[in-house]
Amino acid sequence: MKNFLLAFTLLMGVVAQAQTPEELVRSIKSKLDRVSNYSATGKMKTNVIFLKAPIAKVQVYFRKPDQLRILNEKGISFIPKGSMNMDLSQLFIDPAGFDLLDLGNDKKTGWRIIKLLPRDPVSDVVLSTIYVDAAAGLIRRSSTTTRENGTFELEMSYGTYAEYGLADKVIFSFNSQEYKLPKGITFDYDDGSGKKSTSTGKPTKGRVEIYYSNYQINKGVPDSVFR
Amino acid sequence: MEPLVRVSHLSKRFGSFEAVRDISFEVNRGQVYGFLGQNGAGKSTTLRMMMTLIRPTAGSIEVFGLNLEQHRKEILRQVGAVIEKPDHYGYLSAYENLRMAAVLCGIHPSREKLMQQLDFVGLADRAKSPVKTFSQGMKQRLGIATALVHDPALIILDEPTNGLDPQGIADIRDLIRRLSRDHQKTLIVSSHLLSEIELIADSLLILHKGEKRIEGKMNELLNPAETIVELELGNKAAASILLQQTEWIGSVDWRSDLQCCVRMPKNRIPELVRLLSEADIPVHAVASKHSLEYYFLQLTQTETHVGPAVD
Amino acid sequence: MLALLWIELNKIFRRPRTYIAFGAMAAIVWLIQLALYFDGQAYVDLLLSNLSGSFEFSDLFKTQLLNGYLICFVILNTLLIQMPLLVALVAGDSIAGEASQGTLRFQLTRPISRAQLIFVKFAASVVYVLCLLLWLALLALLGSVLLFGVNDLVVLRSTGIEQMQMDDVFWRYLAAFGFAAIALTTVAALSLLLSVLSENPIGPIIATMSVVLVFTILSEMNIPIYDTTVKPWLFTTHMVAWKGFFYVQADAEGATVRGSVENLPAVLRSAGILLGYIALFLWTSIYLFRRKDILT
Repeated sequence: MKNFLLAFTLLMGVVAQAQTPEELVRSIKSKLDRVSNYSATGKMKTNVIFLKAPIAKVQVYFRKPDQLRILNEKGISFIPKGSMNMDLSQLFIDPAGFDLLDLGNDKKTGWRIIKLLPRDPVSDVVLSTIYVDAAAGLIRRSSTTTRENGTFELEMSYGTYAEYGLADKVIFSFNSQEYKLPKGITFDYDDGSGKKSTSTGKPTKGRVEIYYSNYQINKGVPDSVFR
Repeated sequence: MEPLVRVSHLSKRFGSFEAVRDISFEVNRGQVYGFLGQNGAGKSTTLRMMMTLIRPTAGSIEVFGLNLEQHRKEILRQVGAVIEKPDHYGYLSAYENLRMAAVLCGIHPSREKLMQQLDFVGLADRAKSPVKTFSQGMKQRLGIATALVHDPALIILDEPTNGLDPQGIADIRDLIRRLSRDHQKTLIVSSHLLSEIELIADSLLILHKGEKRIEGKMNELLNPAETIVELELGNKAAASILLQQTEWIGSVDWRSDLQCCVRMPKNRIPELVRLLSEADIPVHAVASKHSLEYYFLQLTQTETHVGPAVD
Repeated sequence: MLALLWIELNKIFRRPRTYIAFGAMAAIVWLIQLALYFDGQAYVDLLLSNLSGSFEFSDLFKTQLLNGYLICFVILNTLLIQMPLLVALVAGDSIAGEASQGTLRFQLTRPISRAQLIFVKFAASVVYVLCLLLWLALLALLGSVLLFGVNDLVVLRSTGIEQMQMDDVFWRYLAAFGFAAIALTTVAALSLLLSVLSENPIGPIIATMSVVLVFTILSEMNIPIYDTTVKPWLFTTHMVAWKGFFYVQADAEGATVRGSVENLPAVLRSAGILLGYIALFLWTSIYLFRRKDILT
């Protein structure tokens, strides 16, 4: 029996390795397609150079095809622009489809690197790169370049909800624009420490981490959430 | 007996102006001490120094045998004063002003006691009225009430009759007499009117241009032997001889060919008139003034009658 | 001493003009609240206009942002600069006003020392300052919280955004009001000093305002030669340090540290400098007042 199991596992590994990028993407998409909506509780940590924000308890709502809302019902949370990209199914909704480019396996992690090139020339997404844990059939990392909002990067850790392709932890990195406020609306005072603006005058990287718990999958999400 | 107040060589200089110059005097217990002088003579400055409102440039003040500078609080606990005009908080009532004065003196008299004090100055029926509705006379009386609120042994009143109508003046005069006679208080009262001081004080000090000119007991200063008689006469030559020959006539001072001033006892005026008429010297006018009044008038006249220089 | 203080307070609070200050403050606070109540969205849009490149702001976010805590913060920023005038109206009048009325004689011919009188006047001014701040707290903090509710407080600085959780805000306001009390007491002490020098209450009131105005301009100007020489010692530079309580520390990952103050030593130093000024002004007032001839 033991031998049989071992043989099966090995075989599966070989099969996975043998998957074409198309097959891999299709299997991921089918996993993601099982979720038409969800809501989840999340703990959100924001790390943007010019923003000091407390760790917030948020509610994340998703509805197909492209509605994603992060709400902090009790307090205030700065939600980065392009946060809808936090849901991976966004990558695959382009009806015109995309060309796939297999870049092989990442040497360190062993993840399969696949580039997605949208066929639609006016698509907002210019290029996506996904790092797939082929054995688990899960995207572990992605990087998406858009015309409008720069480049987003996602890093996922999976747990209980891996079968739906839903992460327990997502790190969302984005380009934050230069922080600059007109003097009249800021509430400044010079404490004599000689601290100058943290603004570098250039866009910087921002990072949002969300730790998910308590997913409610396919139980419906009211319209009011997305208004 | 130790004097209640002893002022020695007191001077005050404001820049180059010397407001008070080397004044010394003493006030005995139970006296009503008159401070007489024109406006600007240095009365208020002296009284302010006695109430520690102004620091003397030189000299010392002792009250109740204590040095004022060193025992300010102890002394002021037993001194009540109204310096210049009595000023109160206009939006507060007479009663509230009086109570405030009491608290400032460190005492908390009962309502009854305060009402008695208002009654003493005739303001009991206006106790609740805001002081801004009071007449000058009422304010003056309230000022005296606030000066008396802590039952002081020494009371200093600076020009208490200033700006009052005749009735108001009479009221204050009466109050001062009652304080002295019935309550055995020592008072220092200043005025620019001799007639006022004459009626209430038993000692007097005349200040002029910051200097002490005369000091003494009233009855001595007002000695009837020291009367100045102003005469308007015809025949200066004859009159001059006659006046010089009369032994009870003191100095004779001719002001013009017709006018002269003679120092003599007041009770001999009829005799003088008779002598003059017997000598066929026409007498056009006779006016007598007490020498003190005459002196004071001269002081004030030299001030007030200085006119523009005309050739 | 307490009885004397009671007298002073009686004088201040029995005067109708004392209440002008309270009325003026209520008017300003209500005007700001009214404007933000009916047109708050426009104000929020203005605040957020330069941030929409990095973040997306929902209507819920905007409603939450414009909460009672933020509105109180906006009001304090506007009003605490104006309050020295209201303090000067009372403290500047305290000696000079009595001198011009002649009631200073009424007080100084009594068995209380001049130092005592200065202390009492100062204490009364402090009580008045506290009453003004209490009134401000009622109107601006309680009023705004009742009208707009509470939520996290977001403070925009030129160097970045400070956000603190709603249950981490109230103590900051207590601290800020406490600090403002020290700052306004400094103005009261200055006004009292100028009041000792004058026999007409208008003089010290205008002089106080002029000093505060000139110093504030110097404090606000960014001229390098003043930055290290003059500015650190102007009391007006330190009067606005109450804002320091609304600047937070962040941990290594950029998250707000609860209950933290970014630069507490700087805030405490400012408080120390203001207390030093209060002591200096008070001491000088007593020194001059004890030597002053009362001629009115």
